[in-house]
Amino acid sequence: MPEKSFDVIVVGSGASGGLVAHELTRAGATVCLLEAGPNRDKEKDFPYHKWPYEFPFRGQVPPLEQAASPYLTGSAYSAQYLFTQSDKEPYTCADGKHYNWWRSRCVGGRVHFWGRICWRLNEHDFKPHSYDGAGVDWPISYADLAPYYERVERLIGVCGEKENHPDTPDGVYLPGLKPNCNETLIRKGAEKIGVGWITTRKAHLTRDYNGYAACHYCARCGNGCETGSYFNSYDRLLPPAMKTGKMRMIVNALVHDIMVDPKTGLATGVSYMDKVHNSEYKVYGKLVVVAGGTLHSARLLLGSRSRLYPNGIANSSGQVGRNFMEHVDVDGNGLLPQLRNRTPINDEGIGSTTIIPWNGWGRKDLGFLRGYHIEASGNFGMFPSHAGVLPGFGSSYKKQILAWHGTRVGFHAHLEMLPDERNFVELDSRVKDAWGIPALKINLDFHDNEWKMIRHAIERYKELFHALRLEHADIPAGPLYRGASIHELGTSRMGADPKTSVVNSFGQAHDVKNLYVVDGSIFCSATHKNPTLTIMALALRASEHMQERLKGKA
Amino acid sequence: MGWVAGSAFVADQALADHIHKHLAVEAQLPRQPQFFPEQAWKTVFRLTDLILPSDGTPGARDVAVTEFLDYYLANSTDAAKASFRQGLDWLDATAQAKFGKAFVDLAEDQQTALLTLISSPANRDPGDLQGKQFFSTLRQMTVFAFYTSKIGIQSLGFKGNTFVAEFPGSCTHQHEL
Repeated sequence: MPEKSFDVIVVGSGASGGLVAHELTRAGATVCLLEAGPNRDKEKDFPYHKWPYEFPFRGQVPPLEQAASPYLTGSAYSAQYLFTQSDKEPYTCADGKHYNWWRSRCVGGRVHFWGRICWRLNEHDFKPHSYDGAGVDWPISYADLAPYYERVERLIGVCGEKENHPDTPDGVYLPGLKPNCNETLIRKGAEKIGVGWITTRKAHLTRDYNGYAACHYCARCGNGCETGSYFNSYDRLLPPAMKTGKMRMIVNALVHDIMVDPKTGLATGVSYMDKVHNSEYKVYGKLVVVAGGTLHSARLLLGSRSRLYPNGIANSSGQVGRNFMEHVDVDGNGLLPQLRNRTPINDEGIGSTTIIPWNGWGRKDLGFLRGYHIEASGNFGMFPSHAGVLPGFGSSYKKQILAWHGTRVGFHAHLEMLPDERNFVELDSRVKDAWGIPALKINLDFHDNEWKMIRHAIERYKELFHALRLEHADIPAGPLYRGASIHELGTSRMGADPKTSVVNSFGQAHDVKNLYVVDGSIFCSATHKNPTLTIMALALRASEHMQERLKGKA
Repeated sequence: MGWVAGSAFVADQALADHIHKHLAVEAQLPRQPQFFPEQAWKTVFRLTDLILPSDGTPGARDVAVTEFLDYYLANSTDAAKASFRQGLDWLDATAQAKFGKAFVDLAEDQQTALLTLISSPANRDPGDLQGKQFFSTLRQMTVFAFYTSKIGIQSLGFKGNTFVAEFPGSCTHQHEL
């Protein structure tokens, strides 16, 4: 293929960029995939099944790095690729409103480190304005996306059960896992307080599938998967795309400008900075697909300024950067006295098999709009994280640690955030990155509806923890920090009207017909559901539109 | 290290051999102290031994917790180092004031009494606040160092991080709330 000219330029190699590259290369198009981080060697760079004592700091982030990035958690391995602060790639926030932007720079993107929960939005989620008057409706309905949900589920393999729950339509599932003892009790508690539960739908192969081995339940997913048994772009989308011979991948390529033809207004390609050699390059394509993740994508669109598009490309509506949303997280935990003094078993499995979905659809008496869900887990983990809440020291303390081992249960709630004109991102006029590219400035806070829902979630935790008879219960006083969900959504929302939206329902920019945005940017509402499955279903639908466009039809 | 050869904890010889082999690996951990001066090293060794004693099952001293904490703190921020030093100073000053000796030189019941004082949630004496914070940090570090070691993970009975064909953790009981 020509060195610098391709059918399609894809910016970003994660869930959406990887999927578009996968689909288009297999359809015969030539694709140039640009990733702002390094590649990794499957054989050498992953610490599969390593033990903490095999790392200098026992698998944790080295303390000096931790001090520099106080929010950074997780393993020393994932911390190499996940970061929040960076001298070279700074970002800024509104005064006093720190937003913790979890970023990833590596081939495969953040979906290499994700929670793997895959559930469908329901019909109300697509029509929130019609449902309660707030926000805007999506330009598509559940029925439009249902076939694409199914195709993505079949492609990636999702385990779960059909539940017929009003919060989420059923999909196509590999066998779900039966819960361990902790989650059996959690389910009973959820039933007792009348909120119910469903088996978590997760992108884990519970049997051999499409040439990939079944999950082996080591539960060290944060280190990557030797067998590719949980879905991620690095293992499952990029290798088949490369195998077509149609894809060229360029790494350490920080794309900062989408170039345009001043006569037609169409995109001609992208400029990128080679971060290793500090050199500027250009590649050209018939289509440009932006899939960098919501905030990176907003920065790229806003930064792609030209005489034709002085406020950023695809931004005649002024909506790029607007309607920024995430999920508000509220966490709690405690110990189940019913499970004291057990002999440990291997029960970590896929991390969690139980979700308490939103059961308030149709209710008008709650005092807030929309809803939330609670993800629940508990098992005999490798580390006794319950030791911190037990009192004392000495032999009795050691005995207590053993007696309570395997009793801990943790709860993680995601609350829907409404689109709000006060929540937006923009280019910082003063701060630039190491290559002179303007940094992103994030303006986000939780507002009235979120705070009402947070209080409701805390009361639900109290009720649930009481039903479960939890001891040493940590009932949350409030939400986690801004950015905790790592579910950035909005900033280039889709819509039928070019005056109030950035792209159409295929992710195609209203202003620039050969420019597509396919990541979480294009969501019209955040919903409370983990977004990756929906991002992928939308990207799959968009990739069909791109094929039509390449044939001269769209 | 008497517990390895003959204690009730090690039920079978294979496991004993396994742990022995690992001890040889962890025995390489001790190196020239990078952070703790000699007196501090002795104090931390004693403190971590009191927090997680070797009492028939493995404890802090069996997995070189002091060595790890020395390494960890040597690679920590100046603020973390200063805070730890001040904690040790508080402990020795309090030991001197109460019993007339440095902490390591106290009798075991005196050491235990002092730790009980600063580990008790009921103790609201503002004069003990620094000691309480130090104990809390030290206990957390000790637990981390011990339970991320091979012997610590084994002592917890951890069964995971391995390949299994079927998920073996499903509940088969009739649990009641």
